[in-house]
Amino acid sequence: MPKRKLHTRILGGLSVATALVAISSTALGDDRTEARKRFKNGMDLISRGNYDRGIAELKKAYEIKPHPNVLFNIGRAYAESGDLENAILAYKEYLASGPPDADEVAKIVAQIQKRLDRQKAALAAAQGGPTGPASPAGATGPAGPTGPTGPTGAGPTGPSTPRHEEGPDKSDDKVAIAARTEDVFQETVVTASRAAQSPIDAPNSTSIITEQDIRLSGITKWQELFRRLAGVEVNIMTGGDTEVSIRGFNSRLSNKMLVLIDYRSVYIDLLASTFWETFPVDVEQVERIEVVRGPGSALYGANAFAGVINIITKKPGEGRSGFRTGIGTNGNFFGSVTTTKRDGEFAYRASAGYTQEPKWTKEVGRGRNDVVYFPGTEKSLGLASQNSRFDLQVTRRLGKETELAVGGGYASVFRNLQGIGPFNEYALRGNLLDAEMALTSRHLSVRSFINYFDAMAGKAHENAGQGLYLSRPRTYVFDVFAEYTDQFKTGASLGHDVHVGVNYRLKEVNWSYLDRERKENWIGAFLQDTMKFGKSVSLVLSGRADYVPLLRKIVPSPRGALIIKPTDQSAVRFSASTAFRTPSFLESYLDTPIIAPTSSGAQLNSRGKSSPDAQVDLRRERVVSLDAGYVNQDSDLVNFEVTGYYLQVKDLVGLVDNRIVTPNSAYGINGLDPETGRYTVGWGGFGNQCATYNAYGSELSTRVFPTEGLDLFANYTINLQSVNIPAGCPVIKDQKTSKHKVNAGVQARTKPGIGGELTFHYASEQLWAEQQVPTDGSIDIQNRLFAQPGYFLVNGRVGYRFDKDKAEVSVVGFNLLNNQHRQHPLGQKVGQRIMGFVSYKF
Amino acid sequence: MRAPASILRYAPAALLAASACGDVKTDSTNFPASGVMEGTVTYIGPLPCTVRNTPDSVHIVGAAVMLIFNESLLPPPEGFGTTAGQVAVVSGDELFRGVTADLPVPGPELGAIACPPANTRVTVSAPWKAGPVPAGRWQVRGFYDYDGDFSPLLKIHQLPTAGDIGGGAIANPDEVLKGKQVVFQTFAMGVDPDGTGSYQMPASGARVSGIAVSLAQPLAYSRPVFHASAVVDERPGAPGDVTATGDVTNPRGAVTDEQAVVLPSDERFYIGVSDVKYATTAHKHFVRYKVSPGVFDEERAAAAASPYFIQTGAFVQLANTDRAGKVRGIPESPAGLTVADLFPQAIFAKLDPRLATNQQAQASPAVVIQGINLGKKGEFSSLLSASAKPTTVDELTIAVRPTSICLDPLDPQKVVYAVTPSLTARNGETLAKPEEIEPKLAAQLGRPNVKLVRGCLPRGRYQFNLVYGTGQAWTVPNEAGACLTDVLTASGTVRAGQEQLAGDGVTCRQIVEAGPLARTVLKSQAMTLTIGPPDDAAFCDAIQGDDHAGLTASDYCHGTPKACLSAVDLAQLGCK
Repeated sequence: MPKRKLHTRILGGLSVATALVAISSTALGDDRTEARKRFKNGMDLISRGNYDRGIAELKKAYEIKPHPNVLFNIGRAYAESGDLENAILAYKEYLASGPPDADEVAKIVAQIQKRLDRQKAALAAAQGGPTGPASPAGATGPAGPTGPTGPTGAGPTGPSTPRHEEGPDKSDDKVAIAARTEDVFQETVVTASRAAQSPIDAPNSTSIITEQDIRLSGITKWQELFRRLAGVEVNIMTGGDTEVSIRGFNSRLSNKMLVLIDYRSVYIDLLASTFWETFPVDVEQVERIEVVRGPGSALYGANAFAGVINIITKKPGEGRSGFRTGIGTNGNFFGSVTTTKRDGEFAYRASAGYTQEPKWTKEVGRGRNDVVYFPGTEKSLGLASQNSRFDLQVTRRLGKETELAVGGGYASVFRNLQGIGPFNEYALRGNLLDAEMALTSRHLSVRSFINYFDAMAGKAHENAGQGLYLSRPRTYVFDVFAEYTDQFKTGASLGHDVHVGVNYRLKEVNWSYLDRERKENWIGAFLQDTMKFGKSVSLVLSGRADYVPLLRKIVPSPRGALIIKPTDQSAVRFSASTAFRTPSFLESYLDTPIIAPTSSGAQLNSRGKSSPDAQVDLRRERVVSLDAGYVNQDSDLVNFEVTGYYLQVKDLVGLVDNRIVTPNSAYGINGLDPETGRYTVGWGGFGNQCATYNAYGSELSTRVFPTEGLDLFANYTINLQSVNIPAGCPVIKDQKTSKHKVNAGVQARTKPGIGGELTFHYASEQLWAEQQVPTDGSIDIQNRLFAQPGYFLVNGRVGYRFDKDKAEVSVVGFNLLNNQHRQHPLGQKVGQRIMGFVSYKF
Repeated sequence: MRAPASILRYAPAALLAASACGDVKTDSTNFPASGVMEGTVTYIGPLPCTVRNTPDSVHIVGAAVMLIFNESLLPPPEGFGTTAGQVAVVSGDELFRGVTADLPVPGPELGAIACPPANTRVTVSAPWKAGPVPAGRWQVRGFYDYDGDFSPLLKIHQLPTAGDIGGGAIANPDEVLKGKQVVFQTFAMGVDPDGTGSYQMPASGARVSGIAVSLAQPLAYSRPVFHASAVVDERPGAPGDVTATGDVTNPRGAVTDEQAVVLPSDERFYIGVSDVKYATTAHKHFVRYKVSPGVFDEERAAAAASPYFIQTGAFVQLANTDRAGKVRGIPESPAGLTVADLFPQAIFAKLDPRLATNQQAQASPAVVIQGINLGKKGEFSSLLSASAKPTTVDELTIAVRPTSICLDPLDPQKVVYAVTPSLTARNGETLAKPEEIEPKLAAQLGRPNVKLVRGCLPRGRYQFNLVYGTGQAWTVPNEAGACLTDVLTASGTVRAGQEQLAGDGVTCRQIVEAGPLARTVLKSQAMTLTIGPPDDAAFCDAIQGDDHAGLTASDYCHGTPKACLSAVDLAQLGCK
């Protein structure tokens, strides 16, 4: 790119940023932060008897981010102030949200109603009307400083000064209502400990992608949401294949991260990968996404190697119904419809959507004489992914703290991805089904899910003299997980929060690339105790043991974390943990002859552990992690977190260089494989690397709220790596993760309804050792080094909300400066993409 | 704020319109356009044998193998190519699918083979396809591996043996039926925009269909498996050791180990050996190999066993002829005489220098030394009456011609250099006249531009090939002569070996695949010819150019034309 042009583009981008900041001078800022601020302010005013202003603040908080507890507190404040009619209205609205304490609150409403009736009667009597209760009626108010602690555990909030004396107390009129002062707008995470807690208390560094991040960024592609986070690497391979990894150890198919949707694992065991484009839900159904950095096997078992991403969707009955649709360059399309409703104890959420994403570039065009195409794709070679989806979730309360949730999803997908080894562009068309059930109660929860995947897969295109390797992968996973939790104290002040869980998982895989149909029974159990030594010190000890069928052994995964909180909103965290990734089915049981790239009559036999002569004995990938961090959210103006980590990684699984078949070991008759009609000239497959990797890194994140209407974030990640390569170990030293990574952005909303986001991302250069088909006439498929230059991205969105914020139009730009680059040396060249959206929420 | 709001409301509609146009760009960097060749292979010959390879399955022995050669890299005897550009295989099971009912069933034991009577005849066809094939001009040669001993895995198994059914995409099938020499069809892959023979692949790729491959010529004899049984060095030790008739009175006799012959890069003759007057003595001025069929006596059992299955038999000797049947002579044949070019031809090809144990010929530039097959008698005079009629012999004499031919195997338009240390003998006699030799060499090599230049021979290890007119050949050193130790990959890196020599010194054991897999090393298959440092370094360094070829001092490295040296050679010699 010419320098002047680049400068012009950068200046253009900065102009847009400046304009957005200027517009935001009257903006409303980060909605969660602002709602939280207003809530705290309102509750403070109410506790000091300033009801009018306090209620107004609570109403603003509710307007920004609706939460039933705010309604409850509004009702309570009205009741305290003596405005019983409005109190009843607020409580009824609260009851309409179907809260778990509906019975209790209904009694309160009834009591207030009685009191109101008495007041009215008294008033009528005073005015010469019908006789009513003693006049003036009333009590000291629906709640007072001495009221008992409410069901949510919040204590009294201070003196209350009822505006109107309503007469002497009557015992049956007394309504004990405690204020719900817990910070409902405090960010909450559940993944790091399998229990709701502030990220400050989490034993691992945890980031949250909020609903606001999703809305203001306009991003509909899951993976792009994570680009803004420190320590998370996002690599675009093709339009339908973007890989996400945490704290390094990237790979062409990212395999060291466990992704969950509401605790349901969507890890594709077949390939050890996450097929983001095949989910049955989309970002419109998301409440938040939690990203836990660092090993998570202590709670989640295998494959939570470098981190866990948990997509938390909105509960049935929560959020609003509506639709969002968008269309963009090169046929980019997104459409999503959601309907959600609560009816008493029953609630549901149904959603459907269609997404279509184009490739960044096509490897081949139409009409190539030398090529055969994946069936049905020749007329749509620019298509990277398609996803038609439907999802239904229903819940029913079975008691005060017991709920049954049942749901299921379906997605019909097409996906173009970057394969591994000699497979470049790879295509997959199929169907995914999932069903899940969760029965949760105060102490016991049982969750179960089924994942079913059935597809046709093969190379997206290949020279006609070779082959597409068409196949039909099918997987079936059944998982059941039971967890018991309890909180108790030992001694005077040592609090325990104990979680005990057992897990069974059945995996069935049938794929012609494997030696035969495989079925594995996995069993795991974990125990975690969070010990609280007073208010400021917590010690979290976790451990899980998993029986791994491939390895035929039980693998332990311990974790320990010490959290010291100098203040309520800051913490120093030290943790040590381990995790493992088990070799995928493909890595373990591969049995596929690969046609030699320059000889149609020869093949390389790729075989896994099952092969009697391949001598493959794969071990699990192992990581030991030490992590220290400090997080501070004391200020309403600025939050920040700094983390340092050390990872030691051993036994990474990778493709081995193909080995030439030595004379006596040729397959078939003198090397001729009677099944394929080709000669076997070598064998390949997967093996454990003999190198030990040491990664050191640090993540520094900050979020600043300088003024209403402006929310700035920035983070920097440094990731350094050293490799111990013993003598004779053929590992090529590379650097698959950028040493330096910078993200920064600004979010803004304005009163007129204009809002948006502008983000900047930079990732420094990388060096990848990758297997690629040689073009020099040899059959030597082996690892070679490929340089990946650093790159930057500027993304942005601007939107306009109208019709009482129900409708919104927006334009989203990816790579606004059209910086042509690759994010993986073998990936497609990334350019600019623009999409326009319309949404409406009922 | 009305204005931006209005604009924003229309933005999605504008994008909707914009999205209708604009296709995704094509970037074929990782998948460049290439070619495909396809057609039908027709087999005419005896019914094949069957083998039981599992208790429940019987397969047909052998496969139809189509070797696709770049026209510029044809295998000997037409060229110096060693590796087919592409290989297609149609298994016997597929080819004979329609006649399985006629085939005999082997016994129940694993490996049992059943063969039909030799006089059976069958004609069967099957489609074949090969790709990717780069741009260029290609020939398809093929054979049916009747005895199932072909394997692309080992070079010693990559060519047809006796009993296989040869053929290819033949241009003159009618003439072949009348006993004429086979002429193979050439297929253009891609386009030649300027007509210079520099083919390019169009962006849409290319496909050549309908290629008919006929396999109908039974190969009568086995490949010329050989070993060097002796070396004869009768070269004179000094100028005075040569008589007026060219006889040698005091042979130098310095070269004695036939398994590791080393010649100096400045090897020169004392007399004009191509002069007709020296017809009966000229051979004494060459270092000569005595080669015998097969392997050393003590290796015969191992050679016949797995994994080698080496067929051995007497050499079949005959004179090379043109399409009209006229005997071809060697380029140095004195005027008026035809010193016959005999099959099997002998070719020494320089090995890739990047690995000391490498058995792979250097790809670019290709450097070969043409040996001279002096027949069993071992004299030039005996070649004057050589016949095109095949005769069997149990020993051959191969003279090492001190001339290297250096060529770019892929560009036929590039100058081919025939390099010899001196164009005149030490006694002043003319050894070769460029104007006479060059046209002959051009015709022999099929290259338009050949230059005979002064220069010391490219140093390095050379493999030794014997080649029949059928293309059947044998090369030493080969895999049978060494364990698969470190392997030089095409990208230039060295891959760790997979076998190691056991303590007994003759057994290769596999490193990775533990177990009983082992094989015996055949030492006879490990020999090399080495062109070593010059006897007189000053002589080489004094060669500062060649006016005839237009070469200057900068075109030489210690007397050797740089056109003959690979980058590794240049580095080893300290030249740029």
